Amino acid sequence: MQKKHAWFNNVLLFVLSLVLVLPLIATLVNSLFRDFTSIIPKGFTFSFYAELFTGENQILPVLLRTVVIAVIPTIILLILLLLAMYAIQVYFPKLDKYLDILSKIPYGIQGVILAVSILSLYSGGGGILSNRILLLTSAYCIIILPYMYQGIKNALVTIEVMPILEAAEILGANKVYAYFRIVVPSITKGLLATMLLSTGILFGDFVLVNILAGSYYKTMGIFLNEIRGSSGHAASAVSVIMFVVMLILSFGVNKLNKDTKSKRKSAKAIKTSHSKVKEHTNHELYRV
Amino acid sequence: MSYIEFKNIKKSYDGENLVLKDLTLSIEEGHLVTLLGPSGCGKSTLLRSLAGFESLDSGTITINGKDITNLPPGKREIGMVFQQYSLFPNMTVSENIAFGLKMKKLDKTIIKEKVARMIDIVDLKGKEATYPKELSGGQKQRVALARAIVNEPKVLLLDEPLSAIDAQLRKTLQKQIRRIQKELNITTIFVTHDQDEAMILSDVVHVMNQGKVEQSGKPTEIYTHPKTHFVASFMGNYNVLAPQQFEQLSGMKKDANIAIRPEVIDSSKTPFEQDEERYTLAGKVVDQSTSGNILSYYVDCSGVNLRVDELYRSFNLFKVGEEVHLSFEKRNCLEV
Repeated sequence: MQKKHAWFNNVLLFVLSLVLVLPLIATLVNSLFRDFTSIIPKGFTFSFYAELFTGENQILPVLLRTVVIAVIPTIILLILLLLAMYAIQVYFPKLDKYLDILSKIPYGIQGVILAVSILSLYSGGGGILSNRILLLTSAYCIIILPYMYQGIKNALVTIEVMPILEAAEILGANKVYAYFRIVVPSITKGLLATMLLSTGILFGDFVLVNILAGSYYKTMGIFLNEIRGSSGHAASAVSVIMFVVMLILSFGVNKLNKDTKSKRKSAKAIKTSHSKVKEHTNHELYRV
Repeated sequence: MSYIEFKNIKKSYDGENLVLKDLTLSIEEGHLVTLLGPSGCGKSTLLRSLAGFESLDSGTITINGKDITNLPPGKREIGMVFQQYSLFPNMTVSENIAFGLKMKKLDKTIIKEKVARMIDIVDLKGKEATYPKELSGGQKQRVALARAIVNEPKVLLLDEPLSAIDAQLRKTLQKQIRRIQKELNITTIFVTHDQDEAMILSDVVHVMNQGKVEQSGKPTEIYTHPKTHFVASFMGNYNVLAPQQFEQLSGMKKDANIAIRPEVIDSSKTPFEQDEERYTLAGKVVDQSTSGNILSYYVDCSGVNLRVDELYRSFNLFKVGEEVHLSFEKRNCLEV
């Protein structure tokens, strides 16, 4: 009976994986062949990729700009939300439900409406608030707020925040120190996953960046839109590169997380073995 | 003068219902005292007030004559072991234990030495580089204990530290806690709702009920001489009889409730000889249960139910429905 189920589960998993991977494979094939109008593609080439890195319209600066504009709002919002959640957990627990509602509002705002509203509010005013990059960064913070908030909240649920803060407090630490030294590092995995999700959302944005900063700050979304008109194959190559960059980012962050933990662990193991003192049978603790 | 003194402590969470009702309590230096009571009686609130996590509506707390009522938790020189362990998940066992010493900015060599000694005391050698999630419940609790005492606190607080641990391991940890407390001679306050645990561990037990201390004393004293109805019903399994029930049984008029311990009642298939110092009655076994080596009979004596405990030395002495004769000394009938 169980074997029967296992077989069914495997087939289901395979079909789902195929559905998810098929568009990616098709995009990859389209970027590597000159002709993909029939089932068997013809004319294998790397020229669409080579063109992106050597031609007039180069992808690298655009890629760099996109990474910067996708990562910075994520970091800003992470810091803001961590501080807000600290204040709520420690001092105003009753406000939690309001933050919950507020953080969900951006779900209901269309990108176009948000961008046009922001432009009409700030663009004519001059001064720092009308700076296009600042507008874009702030708009991105709003867009990813629901994902970041929920992600951080879920991560915080996995540990007992208040008892940990109290345990640290009675040992002489202040609560803010304990929060950023103990609580936040304890939920790194959850935070990184949340940041990756948000960065991924911003990485593929076209609507907001096009309206708010189109010609000022060309990102991958705009670049893809431009190149789409001239060559479908090149557009596929850009999509593949975007996918690979996100993949590398995910792996990099994951590896960084694992390496830091294992290095810390082995370092501590060495330290303790060095520091092991002779056996004390009388436990004269208070003589030290 | 006592080492720790709570004077006229009042505390409420909503401004109306007092959780601690004008509570006054003294604790001697070097003692392990237990705050014993049911859930919601205020024992944890009292402990948290001493730790500095709860502000008081009124009253003062002093340790060794020093008023600590308004001091922040970190300045009170108190160590605390929490019910949920509350270990720092991102730190190893050594780092957890060293945390308080680092906060004190002690020299690294001293920190290493103290941590190593603590690990030795709580018997966690080989686990120094282990993270809390890789430890068992008992090991976590020992790390929490080591972390609390490594700072050499004046007072150690234990807030139901063994409630999430299985019965067998709990016994071992109870012994360890008592051993360490005696070795280091730390004044310790242990909060529990388990009367057996309180009896095993404590020098003094304070039984709490509805925000007040009902009775304080040595464990045997509390057990054998409960002063109130609540203490009699909470400690052990006293038969607490209303005055009219007692009169029904013995023919004696009393003004107060009478408490009789189940183990002081003798049982027999044949009638007991009349004795001026004893009450003798007859009844019928209505139910029975066993708990370890104790066999408990529930006997109906003229409409009054009595629990009678016997050591389980042989197979069931009485069957349900069987007639039984009971006898107990008059001096074992305590007015509560």
